[in-house]
Amino acid sequence: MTEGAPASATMTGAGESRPRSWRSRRRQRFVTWTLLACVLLLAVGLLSLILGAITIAPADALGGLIPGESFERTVVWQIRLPRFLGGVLVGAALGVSGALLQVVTRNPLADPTILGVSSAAGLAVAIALVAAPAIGQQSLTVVSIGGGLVGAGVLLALAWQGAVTAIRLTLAGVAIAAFFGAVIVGLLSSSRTFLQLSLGFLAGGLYGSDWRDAAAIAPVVLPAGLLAFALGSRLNALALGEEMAAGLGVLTDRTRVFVLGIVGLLTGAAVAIAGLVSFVGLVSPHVARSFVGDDHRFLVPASALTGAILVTSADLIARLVIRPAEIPMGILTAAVGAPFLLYLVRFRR
Amino acid sequence: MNIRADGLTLSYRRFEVVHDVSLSIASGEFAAIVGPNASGKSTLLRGLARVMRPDAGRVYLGEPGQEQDIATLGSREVARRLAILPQMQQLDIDLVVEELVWRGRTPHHRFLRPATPDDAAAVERAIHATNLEALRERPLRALSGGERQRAWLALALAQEPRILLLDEPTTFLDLRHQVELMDVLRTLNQGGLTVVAVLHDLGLASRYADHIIGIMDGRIAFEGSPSEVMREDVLERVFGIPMTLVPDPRTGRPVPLPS
Repeated sequence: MTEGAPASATMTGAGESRPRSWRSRRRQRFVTWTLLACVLLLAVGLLSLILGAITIAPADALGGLIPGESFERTVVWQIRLPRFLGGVLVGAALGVSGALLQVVTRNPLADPTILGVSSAAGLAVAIALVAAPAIGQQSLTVVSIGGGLVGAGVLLALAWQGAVTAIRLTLAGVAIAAFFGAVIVGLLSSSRTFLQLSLGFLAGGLYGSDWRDAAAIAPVVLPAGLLAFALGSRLNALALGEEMAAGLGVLTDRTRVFVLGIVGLLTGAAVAIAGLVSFVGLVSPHVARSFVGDDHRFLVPASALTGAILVTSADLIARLVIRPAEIPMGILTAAVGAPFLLYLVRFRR
Repeated sequence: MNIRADGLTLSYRRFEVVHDVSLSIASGEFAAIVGPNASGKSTLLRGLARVMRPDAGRVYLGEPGQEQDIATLGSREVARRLAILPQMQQLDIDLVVEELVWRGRTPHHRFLRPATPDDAAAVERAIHATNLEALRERPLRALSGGERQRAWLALALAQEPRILLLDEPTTFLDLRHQVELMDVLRTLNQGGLTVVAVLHDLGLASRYADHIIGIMDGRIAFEGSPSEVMREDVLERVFGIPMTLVPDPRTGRPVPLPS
């Protein structure tokens, strides 16, 4: 919707000869960051195909992109490529969720994990796993998204009265996250499903993630992400404060419901295949913001890319540190995210 | 453009703040809403702007003779007729002045359509009216309080409203910036913009406004031109302290002083 939608809105007429430096600067930084992020993501992607329990020669790794018979090709095509793409989707979903939550709660510390949306989705998954251990990935995704939407709904109910401050919202979110988290652990540990699987789920990881996983969440993550991007202009108004946004003709309540719905979808999808990955939703928007600024038409896609890079590189490292075994990827995102959170608390605002 | 409230009742969580207020501000007026703290001034302004939904009563907006109930208009339509500048905010946001002003074009935007020359021209006029030409590339974080307030005013002007509502626009500003801001508002008003400002400073209200509305305990306590309402007994009743009125030697308008 507007003021210079990334590339198309060059001003014509109206005597616009003066250089518009802030606009070109924003655009330039966005383009630079996007290119840089794409190169990084491709590099991580290539390394993800090459490195793992066994190392595959780069040429074979690339050859594996065409399905084939050889062992290397099978490893690349059946295991590593879908796992990388799953990581991209999970990271993008969490990055966008974080960016959306930070603007609707007007709280720089908002994130699906901190506000309990992830735990709500996780609880739904845990219940499904305990009740029906043989549940398919697609049904699990539906269950997880249902949980995510319920979590977002709870958050909305808490925020609804208007008088809920960012601090109270955050405290409520922390309480929800802790409560649901405890129920999840209780459920999983009291059932026979408590295996390496549930440890990977609780800490967050892409262990054993295959094409079915990526295919199950892609139809949710891609349209929801596009919707979030299309909301950019409204998010920009909302970022100026409740009253200002209303004065600009944005229906703030409706937008908030809509945005939290998208957050529920995205977070639910991410949890369905990667479990409880923490801090990606918190860190990605801040990293993206430091590059592209506070314009959500740029910030939403940049957060998606940043999240994708974070998750895929964490996953790559997670399967290299104790090769041939793996550690849960969520441990690494937390190891990077927690110090970053401390940095935010100490040095910002 | 006229704005008229009819029996407006507003409350926060069932706590009624504004009770059955009716008022009418005519096209081209410069109106000031004054009153003690917590009297309901800001709430009244929010009700007029449709930022808050009233419990009862209606607000009508439109050219003389064709006022429409604000509740029946689309929110973007309202935002194209009327802009509200809320109380000064401490917003830590990484934008430059012109970028902020562009956000005022939000109600004019069509979904997924690029900006038009009209948008650019409106932004230019807003920046010119608020004397921000030299600061257009400056980050908001690097502005003084007075400059920042002008930037937010420019955002509201970029909406191209016919009515501008302001909530204590001069609070926290030093004297010079207060006067500069009020002068900008006066110029805009002389250009045909209807201005309604909640003001704390009775001196400023008396000097700039031609219609003063006094609010006490959520009701209208007095209303009229400065010379009509600036009376010692009225002000003492509303503000709770004895006041002395001194005529401004230059304008002749009464300036209230606490005595």
